Formats: sequence, structure tokens, C-alpha cells
Amino acid sequence: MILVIEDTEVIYELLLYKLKKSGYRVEHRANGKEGLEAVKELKPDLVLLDVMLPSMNGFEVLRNIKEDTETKDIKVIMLTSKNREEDIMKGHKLGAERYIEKPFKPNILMLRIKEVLGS
Amino acid sequence: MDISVYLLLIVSMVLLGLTLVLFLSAIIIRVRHRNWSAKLENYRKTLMPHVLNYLEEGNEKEVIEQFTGKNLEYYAFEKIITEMLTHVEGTEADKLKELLFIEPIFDHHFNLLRSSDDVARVKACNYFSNVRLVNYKVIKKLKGYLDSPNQMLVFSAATALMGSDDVNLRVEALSRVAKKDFLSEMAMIELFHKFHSDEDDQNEAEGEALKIVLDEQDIPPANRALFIKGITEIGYYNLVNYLLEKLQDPSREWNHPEVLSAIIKAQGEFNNVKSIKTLRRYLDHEAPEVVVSALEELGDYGSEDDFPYFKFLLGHEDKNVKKAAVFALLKNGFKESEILHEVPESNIKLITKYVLMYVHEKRNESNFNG
Repeated sequence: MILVIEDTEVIYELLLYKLKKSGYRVEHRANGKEGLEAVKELKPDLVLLDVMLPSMNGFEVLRNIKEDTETKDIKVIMLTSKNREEDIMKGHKLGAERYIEKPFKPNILMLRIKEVLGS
Repeated sequence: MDISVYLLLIVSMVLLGLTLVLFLSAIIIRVRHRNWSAKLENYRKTLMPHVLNYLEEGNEKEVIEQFTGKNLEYYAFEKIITEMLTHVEGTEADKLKELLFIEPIFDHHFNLLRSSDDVARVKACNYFSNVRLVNYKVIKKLKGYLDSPNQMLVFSAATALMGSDDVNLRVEALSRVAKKDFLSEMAMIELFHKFHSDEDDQNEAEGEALKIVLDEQDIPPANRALFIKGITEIGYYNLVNYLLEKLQDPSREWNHPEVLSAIIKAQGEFNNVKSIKTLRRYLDHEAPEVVVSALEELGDYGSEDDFPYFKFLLGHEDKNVKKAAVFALLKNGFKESEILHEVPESNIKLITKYVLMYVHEKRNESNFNG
């Protein structure tokens, strides 16, 4: 199962559509706090995590995921803004598997997801 | 009753009446706005699955015929597609652009482009930056706005022209905008990045075309330096030797500290070993920022022949040069004691500070890299 934590409507609608079409089970949360709760409750295989989120930013969510022994092995792909090298480095340091820069190519994102999930 | 009391009563009544009218108007506007937003949201909810399906496999006619026709629909349709375009690239973006390229929306913006109001013109430019630029009348108008005294309009028109597949058109726009000194650094960087196409096979042609822009004499030094930084960032490797030649060009437009510094950095970023000999000449340049750039790049190459110069520059009057010399020596394995041995007593405190800064930076870098 893939959990999408993203607050921009058009992005999550596009992601949910593409992921469902590819046969994944998908859940969505639109803010960091609810996203983190969903990670702990649903234990997804992969989290697609935006950096700029209301209530708790993406790095905080990532740190919490990676610090919790129950969730630390869950794979995370971060969605960052273009040319934000420090965000990429921070995400990498905190344990994100990959990052995708926005604006993104949806087909490339789907490939990255397949790579990370090893399917 | 006194006449003044009557007057006071009448004024109070009028004011009360006006307050009531304003109150009612506010309620009506609010209700209308809520209805409008609800209609838009409804429209969006119905449209989105069709757009997503179109991106996957459908044809645009189906979406367009079903979802456009009324003014509200055109407005909402354009708004939603444009919003999506800010988040996606590649094939999906191209397909979304096709949806915007329909006659009523095109005509509406073409009329805006021809209006005398700059705000409407900017709005039209923003639309044309999202669709294929194939109409020569549109291109002519956009080119015309590059000479406008309104910076926003110049920037928007140039941005729209940067969306063209025709590299010559993009070069013309960049070249004309480059001569203006009123655009901000951010705007210039953005335009330069928009000039660069995602298609790898265009890189060489773009590089060649950029020589035409850089050969123009009347580009302000700050813009020329920005372009050279952009060339380095994007990686137009075919310009590396052209820039090396320009490093030795005595003409005024190239012989500016900001420009020289950018070229020296470009040589380092491109690892152009051929440039080492030329870079050495800049270790005694009169502008400290040029010496700093040369020290940084030669420090990376790490040739033993340069070490005596690095040591010599520890005594330079400019603090930034001193710091760059310390960094260049430490980068090449010199110990703190060896460096301090080279400087007079009065400089020891400052040089020690630079040594500590270098150690701190290296520690941060290794923490960053895990």
C-alpha cells in the first residue's frame, strides 16, 4: 500500500489516479500530523511525502517515521521543490529513499516508485 | 423643534439607510461568491477525472466538447489546467498544453494581448507561455513587448517566447532582454533557465546560439556574469573553450571583475585543464574577487607549482584573498603550523580564524554526506 501525504489538490488527485491505475492500493492525507498518524496505523509499504505541509512539515514527519522502530523500515520518497538542494540533502540525511523535484514528470515518478518497491 | 435637530435626524436616517444598503450588499456579494466557488468546485470535481483519463489515454476533443462552452466553464477550465501545469512536466505537461490551445481560450487571450492595458497584456503573456507558439501575430506582439518600459510585461513576454521550440526565437528574446539593466537577478536567472530546453539534443545548438548573445557588446556586466553562471550550472560544455578565449580578451565588456570571476569559476566547474596556465595570470589581478576565484580553482587543481603563490597571497591586503589562500593551502594538505609559519605575527589571529573556518566547513560537509 502507498500513502500519499500531500496537500496540493491537483497533485494528489493526479498521484492517486496514476497509482490506482497502476494497481496500487492507495491512501491519502492532506497534512503532516494526520499523515504521521496514518503511517503508524496503516504501516504502508511506501510513503510519498511532500515537504511543505500544514500542521507538521515533511521533514518532521520523516524524522518521526525513521525514529520509530515500528515504522523505520517504511520507504519514503520526498517531493521537494526544484533547486532546493538543501531540502534534498536534509531528506537524504534523515533517511528518505529518493526525492522527486516538483514540477515532476509523472511517468518518471511511477518508475521511481517501482524501483523503490522493487516491483 | 430647532432646524438643526431636523437636519441631524435626516443625516442620521441617511447614514442608517446607507449602512443597511452596504450590509445587504456585503451579504449578497458573499452569497454570490460562495455560489461561484461552489460552482467552480463542482465543475472541478467533474472535470478532473476526465482530464486525468485524457492524460492517460483519452483524446482532447472529448474533454473539450464536454466541459467548455460557457464563460464560467472557459474560466474554470483554464484555471484548473494552468494550475496542473505548474506541477507537472514532460509528456503530461505537453498534453495539458494541448487542452489550453482551443479557439475560444486562444482568441480571448489574443484580444487581451492586443489591448492597451498592461495588466491584460501580462495575463495574455502568461497564457501564451503555456501553449505552443505557432501564431506569427502572437510572436510579433510578444517581441514588441520586449521593448516596453514595464518590467513585468518585458519579463512575461520574454518568458512566453522562451517556451518556443525555435532556438533562434529564444536567442533573440534573451539577447534583447540581456541588454536591459532593470530586470532583477532572479528574473534573469529564471529566463536563462527557461531558455534551456529539456531536450538533450538541443544542448549543442543552444550553446552555439548563446555565443551570439554573449558576443553582443552592450550587455551589462552583471547580466553577462549571470549568463556565464547559468552556462556553468546547466552544463553547456561546448562553450568552455569559447569562454577561455574570452578570459584573454582585452575588450571592455569581457574585462570586468564580475565577468572574469564567472569565467574562471566556469573553467573550474568544467575541469578544463587547458585553462590552468591562463588562470595563474589572475593570481595577481587588481580586483580581489578575481584573485579569489583563481585561488579557488587553482586550489582544486592542486599543482605544486602554485603553492608558493598561494603562500605569497597569505600576505595580500584583502581579507577574502587571504582566506582563499588559506583554504587553497589546507585543501592541498598543508598543516596549520606550516601556514602560520608563513605569516607575520600581526596576521596570525586572522589566519588562525580562517583555518578554523575551513575545519568547520569540512566537518559540516562530511556530516552532510553521512
